[in-house]
Amino acid sequence: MYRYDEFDAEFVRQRVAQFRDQVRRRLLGELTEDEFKPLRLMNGVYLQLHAYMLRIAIPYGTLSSRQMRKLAHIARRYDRGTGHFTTRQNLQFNWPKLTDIPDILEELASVEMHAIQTSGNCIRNVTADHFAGATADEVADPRPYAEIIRQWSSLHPEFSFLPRKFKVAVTAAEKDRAAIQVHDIGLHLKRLAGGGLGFAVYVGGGQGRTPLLAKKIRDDLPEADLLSYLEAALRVYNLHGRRDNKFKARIKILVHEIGAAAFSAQVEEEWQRIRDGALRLPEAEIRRIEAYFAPPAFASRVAKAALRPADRAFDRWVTRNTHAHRQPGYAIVTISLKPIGGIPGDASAEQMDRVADIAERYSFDEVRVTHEQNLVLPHVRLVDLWAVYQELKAAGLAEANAGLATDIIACPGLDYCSLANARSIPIAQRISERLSSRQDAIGDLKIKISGCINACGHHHVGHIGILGVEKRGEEHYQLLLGGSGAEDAAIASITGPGFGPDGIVDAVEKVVDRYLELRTDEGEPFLAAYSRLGPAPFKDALYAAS
Amino acid sequence: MSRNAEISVLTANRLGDGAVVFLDFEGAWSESFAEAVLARTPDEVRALEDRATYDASHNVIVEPYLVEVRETQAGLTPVRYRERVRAGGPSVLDDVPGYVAPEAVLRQAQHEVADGGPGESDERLRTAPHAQHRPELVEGRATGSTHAQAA
Repeated sequence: MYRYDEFDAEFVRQRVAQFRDQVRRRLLGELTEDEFKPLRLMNGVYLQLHAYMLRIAIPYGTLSSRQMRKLAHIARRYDRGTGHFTTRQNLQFNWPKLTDIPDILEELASVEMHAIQTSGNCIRNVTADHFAGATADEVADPRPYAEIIRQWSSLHPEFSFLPRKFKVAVTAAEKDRAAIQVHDIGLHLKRLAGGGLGFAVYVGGGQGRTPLLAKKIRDDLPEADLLSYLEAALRVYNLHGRRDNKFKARIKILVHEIGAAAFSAQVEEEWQRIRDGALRLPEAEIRRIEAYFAPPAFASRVAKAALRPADRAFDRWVTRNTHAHRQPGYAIVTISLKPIGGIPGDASAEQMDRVADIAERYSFDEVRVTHEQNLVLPHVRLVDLWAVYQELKAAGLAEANAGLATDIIACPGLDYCSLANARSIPIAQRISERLSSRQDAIGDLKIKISGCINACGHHHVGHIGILGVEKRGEEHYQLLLGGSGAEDAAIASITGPGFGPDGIVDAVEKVVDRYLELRTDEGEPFLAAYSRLGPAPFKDALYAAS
Repeated sequence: MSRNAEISVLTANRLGDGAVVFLDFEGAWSESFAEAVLARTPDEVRALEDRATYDASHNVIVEPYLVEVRETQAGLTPVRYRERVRAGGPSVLDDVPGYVAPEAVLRQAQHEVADGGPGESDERLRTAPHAQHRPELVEGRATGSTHAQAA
């Protein structure tokens, strides 16, 4: 894992001291709320529906056991015993006191973590494939590049006040687990024609009130040019992005309005001017950062599987929650944070501690956070799966539903978020309960729920998406079908009139029933069936009777 | 009094801990919606607005605003669902893994349960073991006595 250098440690330490003084001055009245608000947001402190909320950055979703234990400690000591993992691989605490936050930030700094740039119109936490460095289907670990971007973008003076927030995602596999086509910039690390590593660059994707898929503006960016090209792209956006209308300020609107070709041409022009300057990445520097992410000391010999009792639940868990590892004898384990009827992404302090213990013992001290609000143990020996399963089961973390209908993404919604119009979590809970008994028969299905048009719950790219709105002061839900955040990215379409809180659960079930009725066989996934059939039979199931 | 008359209460978040608070009939900031003072006339609304400006500028509360409430069979309740959730707390706290309610919340919850049962809500909410956290409970407020004290 990456370890802070002197610069990292110093700037985080300075920021904690600055924020401590800012909080003191705010409480004394030396700063007004108008003066203080941008300062707290720069440190990840929001005022939400019920309380302050602290959003903590987990760069590219990678945590050590020590860091996970610190998060558990903070949950226990400063919050209410729980934390919430988000769709941006971050962690949110929903109940911190403002007076405690300087101490929380100091605790975080002690384990090389912070909350800087988790809010505001700046470059946010860089996300990455949660299987990075472990999966068999990638050309290289994308996290060294994510770390290089993190270092470049942290406190970048030119990009601290962009027209709007800016999100970068990186993957190195053909199977896109990082949703790069719905990010402001998505990077696909690949092997170039000449044999070296480089990037396909996607720009202008995003969800929110104007969902758009990113356009590929380069297919062959050499790794040495990564930062200069990003700098050029950000500079064009910073110059031409709209600042007069918050809802049209994201880079996706700029790219859409002037066209990808025109945007690309401007980027190329700026890039040619700066590409051989200070931002050109020396080979030695890339390799230096890469060394922090060197594969762990895998066992060279594949141990034989230990005898274990016959256990269908374990077999099911292995089938759903493990993934092929690049190293023979190992597996990637997904820890579901989606218990049936539970709250997507929530974990108790005790569960965080248990995960830290398990990771330390069985996964080279490493945990990942996924944008689908689960956790991952990236490097588990096959012979240890039974023991890991038993320990996860004891912690209430062995739900065998990764990728199934109950593995639902849901934003905090109106239960916590001041922007939300409707609750997301209870809808997710009820759908989970409704579909749990036949989720294996349904197969892979991504249901994603947002409580407002900002789409933190990724409803635009759900196979089945749900958007909560407010209608005459009450909760109301729109249903969308056919979206995908993966390599076959697509924006979902609204089916028609919306539903009330009870009706939306029934509506999802009707769509699922119609899919089961019309699929060619068990091997045809929902999205394939939807593509083949179109929306008509599903609309018929939803609305014909009425 | 017309049942359709517009009624407002003043809410904000407490500066130090961010807790949702309502200006109560003793002029203090209470975490209980049930204790909120009501404004039924333009003069009373202006008085609440003046108090909001004063306390915000004196670093007691942040982001104050008026919430429209209405009278129902079960008592007073915010008109918008958003405000009902905000007044009652997250509807899912019973399902949050490891959630530990602060003592003040528990005391408040016991008080509210003693005052009345849940209002109109779905079965999930009515049958929840700790329904005191449910936003629908804000409808359990007794209007007559509160109004008398507010007056």
